[in-house]
Amino acid sequence: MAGSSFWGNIASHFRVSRTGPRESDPGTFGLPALPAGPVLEVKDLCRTYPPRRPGEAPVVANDHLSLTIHPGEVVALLGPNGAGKSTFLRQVAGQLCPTRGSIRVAGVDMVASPREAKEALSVIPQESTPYGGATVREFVRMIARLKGVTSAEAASTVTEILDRLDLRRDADAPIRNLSGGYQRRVLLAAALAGRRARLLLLDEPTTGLDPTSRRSVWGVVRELRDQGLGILLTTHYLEEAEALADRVVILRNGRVLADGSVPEVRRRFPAGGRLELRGLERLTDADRKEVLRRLQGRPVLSQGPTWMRLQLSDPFAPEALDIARSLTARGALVTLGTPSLEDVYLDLVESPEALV
Amino acid sequence: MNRWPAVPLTVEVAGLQLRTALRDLGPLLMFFFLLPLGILFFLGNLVGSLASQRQILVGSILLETALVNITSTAEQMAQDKQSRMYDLWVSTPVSPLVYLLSISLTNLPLTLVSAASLLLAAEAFFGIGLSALALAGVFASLLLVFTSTLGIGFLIGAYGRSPRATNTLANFAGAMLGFFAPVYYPVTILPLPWRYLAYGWPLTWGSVLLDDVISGTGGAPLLPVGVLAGFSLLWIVWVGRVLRWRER
Repeated sequence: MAGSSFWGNIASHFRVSRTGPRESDPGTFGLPALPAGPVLEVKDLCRTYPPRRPGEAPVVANDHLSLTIHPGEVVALLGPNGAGKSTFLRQVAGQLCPTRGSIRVAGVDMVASPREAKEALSVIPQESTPYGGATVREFVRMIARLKGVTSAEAASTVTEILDRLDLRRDADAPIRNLSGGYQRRVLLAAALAGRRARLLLLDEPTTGLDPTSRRSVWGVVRELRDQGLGILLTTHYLEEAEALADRVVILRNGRVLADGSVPEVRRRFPAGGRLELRGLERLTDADRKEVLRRLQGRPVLSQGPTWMRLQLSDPFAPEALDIARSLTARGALVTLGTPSLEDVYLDLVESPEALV
Repeated sequence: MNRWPAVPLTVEVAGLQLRTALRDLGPLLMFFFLLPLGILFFLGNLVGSLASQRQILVGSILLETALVNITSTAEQMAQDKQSRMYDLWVSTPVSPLVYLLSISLTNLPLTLVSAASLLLAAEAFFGIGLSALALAGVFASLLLVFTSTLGIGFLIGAYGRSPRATNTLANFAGAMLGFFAPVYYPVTILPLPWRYLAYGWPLTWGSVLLDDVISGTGGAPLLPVGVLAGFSLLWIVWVGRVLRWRER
């Protein structure tokens, strides 16, 4: 039966599966709502690349990663370059085979049934630019059709999405005439074009955008989250993760260093807080010596000619408050606080040992 | 299980890409019309005999068909990889064959219009007239040449490690076809070892077939048709085997 299986295989290229995730009552964007449950379940995911040169060890890009995302949840994947973020995202998007582990998108196994699983996800690849010669409407329609929207449904679905993302005015403009921010918006619109999309994968969605465009994209992401989409994004902008993410996952060398909400992660890693001093030029030499004496032994995180940042074990301990009062009385500007996500991130990724 | 064929989808996507391509008329006019017509006039005036002019016509039509099929498929893939639109395609629930065919089908209408313009020019300037039946035979042969070169551009695009490498390889393949395949001259003038080598190219058989159809010599087209169909099948099998969205 080799012949029939060969032709069956060829014929299968010309079919599009409609057996993706089950649907129930209609949701927003005309999208059918799915039963409650994770939109993404990744268990024990490993990805190893062959050695770059003979004699070298294989490169472990993802090392037993597990992650679950629920509807209406935004998870930010953070980590330095080479941490394994993009490899993870590419496996979830069905672009790369895992070496080991399982990926389920809206309950469908990505490894065993990639076409069905892909119906439930949408991707905006890193630094992607849509076809510049196409109009916004044409491009979104094309992606909608590729994602299984029928020809009859396509026009109304596209119009609805363009309205929702405030793209109606530019619907018939060539994409190349739009600004970078609007082009990213077009990609978001295309990502929504699948009727069954429940998981949105955004690989560095705002890289290269100006602050206004970035805020605009954030607004759209928040709206999508509110509509019930699960969103996994990678970013190098920690303020973006703080602004958008319900949870952050910090990776290094393919392993999870931290996983939790921003306040949780800040509480857990590392213990302690920050003391920031400014206006040191206002102090007399004697006062400056006294300041340095009192702060002796505390790790200096960064400093300049007129300012310094130090790590304290507990920023609200009586001793810390006493130091702050004393320095304020001498004319310095003092800020005491818990570490920012950036502080935690830098501590984690620069620390010699993994902290989890 | 509810499934529907993706052929209309492929055609629709190809139509959309064609509309987009038509917005940049400059490169299209040059690639599909000015270049092949220029070659036809230049070489057609260099040679004297009608038989040679007919061969130049065959060569111009074939090269335009095959070159477009190979280079623009490979270059489109390279461009899509660079703009990451290829990744977007990969993450959609369609077969990679839809992607490949939509790119190829985008070029097909332009290829056929270009062939028609070459035939009209050949009739007007060199007096190479064709009956309606021969004309139908030319277009049927072109479709066969089209399918027999379909996979080459895709394989170059799929194996190219970078857009630059892909473009270089596609241009190299085009140059190989242009200079070494016996499309502007009959395969029979090649010395024997080269002739055997030339029979390994689908374009050689396309040239034999088209020359037979245009000259109306009544030569049995079964052999070239069979060989071109064999090449088409070879690409389907090969592409079917290497075509997978997901990298291993």
